[in-house]
Amino acid sequence: MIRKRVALLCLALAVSGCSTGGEVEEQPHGYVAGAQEMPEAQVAMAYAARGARQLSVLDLATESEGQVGLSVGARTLVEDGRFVYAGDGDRTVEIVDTGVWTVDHTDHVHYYRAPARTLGTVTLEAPLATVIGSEAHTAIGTTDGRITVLDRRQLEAGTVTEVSTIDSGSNSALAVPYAGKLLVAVGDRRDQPANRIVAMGADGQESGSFRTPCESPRGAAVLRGGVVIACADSVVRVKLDKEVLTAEVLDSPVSPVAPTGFGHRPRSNEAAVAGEGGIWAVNASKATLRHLPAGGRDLVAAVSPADGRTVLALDGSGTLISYDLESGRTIAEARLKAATVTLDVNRAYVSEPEAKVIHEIDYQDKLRTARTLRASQQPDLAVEVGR
Amino acid sequence: MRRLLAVLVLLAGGVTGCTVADEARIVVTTNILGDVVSRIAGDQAEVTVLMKPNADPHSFAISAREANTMQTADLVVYNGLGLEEGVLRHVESARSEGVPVVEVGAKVEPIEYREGDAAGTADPHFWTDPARVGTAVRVLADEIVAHVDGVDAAVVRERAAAYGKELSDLDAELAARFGRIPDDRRVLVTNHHVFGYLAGRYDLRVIGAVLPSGTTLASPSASDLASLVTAVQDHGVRAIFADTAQPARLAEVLAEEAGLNVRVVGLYSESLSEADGEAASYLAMMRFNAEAIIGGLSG
Repeated sequence: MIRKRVALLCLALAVSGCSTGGEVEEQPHGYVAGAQEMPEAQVAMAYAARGARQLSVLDLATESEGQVGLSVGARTLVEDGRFVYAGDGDRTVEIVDTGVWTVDHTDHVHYYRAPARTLGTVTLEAPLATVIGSEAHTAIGTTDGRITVLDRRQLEAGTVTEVSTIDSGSNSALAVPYAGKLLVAVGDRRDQPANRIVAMGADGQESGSFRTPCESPRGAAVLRGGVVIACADSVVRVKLDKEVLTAEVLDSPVSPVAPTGFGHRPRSNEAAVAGEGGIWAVNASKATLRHLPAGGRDLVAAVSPADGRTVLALDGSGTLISYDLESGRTIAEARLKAATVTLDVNRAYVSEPEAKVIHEIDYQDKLRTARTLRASQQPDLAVEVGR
Repeated sequence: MRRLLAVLVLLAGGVTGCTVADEARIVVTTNILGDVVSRIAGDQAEVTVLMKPNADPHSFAISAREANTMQTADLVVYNGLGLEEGVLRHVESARSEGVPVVEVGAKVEPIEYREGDAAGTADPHFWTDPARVGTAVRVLADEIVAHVDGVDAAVVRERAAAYGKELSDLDAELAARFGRIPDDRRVLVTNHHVFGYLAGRYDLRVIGAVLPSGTTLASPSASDLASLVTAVQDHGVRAIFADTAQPARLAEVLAEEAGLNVRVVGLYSESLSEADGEAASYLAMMRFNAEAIIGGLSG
C-alpha cells in the first residue's frame, strides 16, 4: 500500500516537474483573481444620465462613488447582478463589470468586490431589445428576432466572447439562461411575435422535448423556484425538476399582462409587473399568480420585495406606492418624481432625475425615506448591482 | 527561478523528487485542526495545512498540487460534518485512492443545530469545546500511530498527552471563570453560529440575533433593529458578540435608536489568525475568545 503511493507520487512529481511554481489554482465557483471576499453584500447603484458616456457606481454602504467611462452614450441600462449592459439606443451594447457581486451556494451566499471596469462593446445586427444575464450566459435579443449569446463566465474573466446567434423565427427576441440551457421564445413567422418557449443548448440547437405555449412573450425573471415568463394572457413558470424542465401555465385573470418587464430581487421567489391594467405578482416556488387592480391607476413599473405580503409600484407621475398583496389595499405612498425603482433585501432605491438624487426607501416602514443620496449626474437610468 | 530549477530536475532524470515520499506526511484541511495535529506530531511528521489564516473553512479552495499532496499523504485529517465544502471532493478522492482519512468531527459526539434553517443537522464547530478537542487529540494520536509510517509511537503519545494536559487545564480554567459569572448573565447574544459547543460546555445560553447590514445601519428604523433590540432587552445583556463589518457603527445606532448601551465584541470563530495575530494557535484563539466573552458579560 505504502509502496503504491510512493509510485503514484513519483509520477505526479514528474508530471508537475517537482515544482511549486507554475501551478494551476483551482478556483471555487464565482472566484475571480483579484477579487476580495466580503462579509456582506456590496450593494451599489449604477446610474447614468440619458446619453451620458459615463456610468457612475455609487457604493450604498460607504456612499463613495466611482466612474466608469463608456464609449457609447447610454440610453438603456440592464443589470444581471454584476454586469451592467449599457445600450446606445441602437445596435451597440457596452458591458461594464461593476466589480460587486454575490455567489449563491443555495444554503449560504458569498460576497465579492473587485475593481469596476468596462469590458468593451458588442455590435449587433439590429437594434437592442432585451438582455438577460444569468450564470453561464448572457442572452442579447435584437428587434430582428435574433439572440446573441455571450459566455458570461468569460465576462467574469474580463473577455467578451460570443458563443452563438439564435434565430427565433419570430419578431420576439427573448432568451433566458437557465439550468445550463437557454429558454428561447420561438415562432413560425418572422413578422409575428413568438408563440412558444423551447429549450436550447448554448449552440442554439433545440435540446430535449421541452416546449410550452406562450403567446407574445413579454419579459422574464430568473427566481429561486424557477424562471417566470410573462405571455399575453398567462405567466409561465419553468422549473428544473429532477433534471427535467417542466412548465406550469398560470392563467392571468386579466389580459393582456403588462409588457413592462418583471421587477424582483435576486435569489427571491417573487416578481411583479405593472401597467395600466394593474399589478401581476407571481410566486415561482408556489406557482401562483395574483392580480391587483390597483384602483385603475396608471402604473409603469412594479417590484417585489418577496416578503409574501407587499408589492411596490411606480405610477406615471413618479409616485412610489406600497400595496398589500392579499387585499390589494394601498399601505403607503411616497410622492416623488421617480424614474426608476429597484430593491434588495433591506431597502428600495428610487432615482429622481430632476432633483439629481437617489432616495433610499425603507419599504418595511411605510416607505420612509432612510437616506437621500446626491447623484453626480442626473440619474435618468439607474440599476442596482451587488445584491 | 523556481520554475527553471524544476525543469533542470526533470532533465536530470525526473525521479530526484521522490525522496519526499520517504517522509511521514499528514495533510490537514482547516488551520484549527492543523495546529492541533502539529502539536501532536511535532517533528515526527510533515504536516501540511490547506486552509490559510483568516480564511473561510466553508469556501477555501486548494491548488491542483495540494490536491495531489492529499492523494499521496500517509493520513488526511478533516473536520467534516459538512464544514469544508470546497475541499470535500478532494478528501473523497484521497479516500478512494486508499489514503487513510479521519473525519474528526464525527468522532467527538457531535451535537445538532437547535434552530434556524439548519436545525437537525450536525453542527461541525466542535472546537469551541476544549474537552471535545481533548477527545480529538486522543483519536488523532491513535490515527497517526496506526497510519503514518516511520513515526515513533512513544513520542507521538507523549506529545499528545502533554497537549491534552494543556487542553484540560484550559477547560478547567474556563469552567471556573465562566462559573463565576452569575447564571442570568451567562448569555451570548450573537449572529455567530459557531458557539453551540462552547455554550453547552460552560452552561451559556446562545441567543441568535439578526444584525443590520451596512445600508440599514446608515439610517435604521425600529424594524431593522427589532430582533437585536428584543434580544438585548429580554436578556439584559451589556455586550453582543457580532460578526459585522462595522461594530462601532452598530453600537452607535443601538444607542441612538434604541437607547441601548451595549458593547459590540468581535470573536474568532472559524479560522486562526496570522502567526503574529491574536489567535495564532488553537489555545490562543480560545483564550482570546474567553477573555472577550467574560469581559463582555462582566463589563
